[in-house]
Amino acid sequence: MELTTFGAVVKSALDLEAEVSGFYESVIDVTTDPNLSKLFEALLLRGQKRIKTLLRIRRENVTEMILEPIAGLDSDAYKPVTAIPKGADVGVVREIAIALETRVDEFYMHAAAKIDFLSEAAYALELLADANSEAAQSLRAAI
Amino acid sequence: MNILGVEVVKNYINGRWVESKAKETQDVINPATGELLAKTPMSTREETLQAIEAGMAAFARWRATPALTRVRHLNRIRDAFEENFEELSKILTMEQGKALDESRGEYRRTIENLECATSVPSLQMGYNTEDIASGIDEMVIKQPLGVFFCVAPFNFPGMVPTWFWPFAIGCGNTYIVKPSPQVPMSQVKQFEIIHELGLPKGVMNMIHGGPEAVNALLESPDTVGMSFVGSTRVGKLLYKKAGEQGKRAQVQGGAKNFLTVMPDANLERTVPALLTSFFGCAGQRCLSGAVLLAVGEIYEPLKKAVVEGAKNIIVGYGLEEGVQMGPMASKQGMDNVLGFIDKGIEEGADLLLDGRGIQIPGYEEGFFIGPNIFADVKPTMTIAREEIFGPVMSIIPVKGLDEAIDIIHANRYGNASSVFTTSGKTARDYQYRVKAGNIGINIGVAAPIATFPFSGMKDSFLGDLHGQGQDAVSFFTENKVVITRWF
Repeated sequence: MELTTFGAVVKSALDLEAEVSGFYESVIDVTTDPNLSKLFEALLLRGQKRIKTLLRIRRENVTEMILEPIAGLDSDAYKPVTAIPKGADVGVVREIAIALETRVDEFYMHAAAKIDFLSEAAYALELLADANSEAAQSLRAAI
Repeated sequence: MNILGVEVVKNYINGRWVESKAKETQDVINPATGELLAKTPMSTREETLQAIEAGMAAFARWRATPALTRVRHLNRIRDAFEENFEELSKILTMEQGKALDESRGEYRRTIENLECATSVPSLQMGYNTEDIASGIDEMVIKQPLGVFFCVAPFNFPGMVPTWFWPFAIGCGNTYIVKPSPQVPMSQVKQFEIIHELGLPKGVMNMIHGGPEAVNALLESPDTVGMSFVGSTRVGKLLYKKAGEQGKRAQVQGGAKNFLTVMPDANLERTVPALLTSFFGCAGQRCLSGAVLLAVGEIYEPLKKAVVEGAKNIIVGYGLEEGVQMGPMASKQGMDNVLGFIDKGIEEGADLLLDGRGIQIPGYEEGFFIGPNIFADVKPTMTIAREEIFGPVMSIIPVKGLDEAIDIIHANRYGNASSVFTTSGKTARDYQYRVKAGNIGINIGVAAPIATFPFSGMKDSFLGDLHGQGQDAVSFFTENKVVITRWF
């Protein structure tokens, strides 16, 4: 779906975070690796905070006089893959998580570039992207 | 009260919700769907006088309340508006039509007015000098005056009253809001929130209605001043009456805003700003761009770029995320704009982009007009001179800055004007010379934030003091000079 307004971008981000949180909730108890399990739990908590952050960004950074239309950002390009193949081992689950974090990172970076007319909101999305990038690195190092 | 299952919105007087006894009501319509949302009572003179009485009764105690205590109420209201932000924004879109992000933006500015008004304890401070003569001291105290009221417009039903009442009650006055009968629900929701927060009875009141209520407010000896936002025609009538009644008045009227694009403008950044200015809120802003003055060789590329950009604007039901422009706020508004477009064609302007007849699937009852762009407009044409208040851009080619400024000054209005340029000299010249109250330099919508006055000149503003900021504190207080000597 083409994201054409600031509000649409934030809605897409909220939907993405909800899906990511849902994924981590489903895998916390599946993995036997204690490091990974702790990391999944932290990422689930991160999701809850992020939803609050995004809602706050939407409330506080929508500066009416400089709202501009957005073009060239399609939420379908960032659809997260959260399905876990039956019988998948912890390594596969971890790879899915890394891919998820990378995809969300890309979304936030591209979205930030598109809403550069709202510089504070754009910066906030860049910070979220940084955290996704760090999470991917932590997941790689976890096992 | 319900009429055919639709609620008649209530007045709010002395801390209570009161059903109006009015026989006459006005329909509140969702302009995207045509759905009847509510009915507004045309309150009677007697009911209006009850609201004034409530404000008068509350005044003595309220003005004696310490300033910091008064603004703590504003802080609570501010927090409650934040908590209810999405719901408030959606109600606004439903009754007024603007896109959801635009409603959110409106509520951000609403909340900013509350935040700014919490500075009243500092802003209301007076000043003094000792020994103006030996042993004699002199001081100025800024005192509140009593019951003020506002007559609010239909285009910003959430925000405009907060240009005034937070400052008014922060300073110790009491207040009556008279919302537009076309869009009362935003104020109803705001007052529902306020009602839960423990503001003393009578400090804030709301009366719905039309001319009868407004005349009662103006004619009562117990009201001190009026803030009005609306058409210049009505504003002048009320301003005259306020003067005759000895009341303070601030009247924000109509507009015809000229945006000038110089040959050295950054076109890539300018065009999106122009699109927001001309077509944001479907052109129904007193700060909306109305006429685009294209200087010199910028005319052809600018014309092409704005048409391309405007073609892509997504028009639809404002509650749907992704919609960039909603409907006109009323059928009357829509018909008015269509009439101007016909006039533009009749007078020989070239309609490059025709937004008439736009169909939004699923919303066939809505008052939709898409973006319209006229080129080869002459300054004498009706569409170049008169306020349209809709999504219509009129492009006039001009030879230079002087010609642009002459055209701007020939117009009766002076609300806002912007220049797009990379030259500091041009920008300085523009802000220095142009007679408009709100000037934008590379800004399409020159909207002052809450700490600044919402300015305006010529037929766009009547009065001395504007809404918002320090101007508001001055409007809502009187300087009392006290000279003291002690034996």
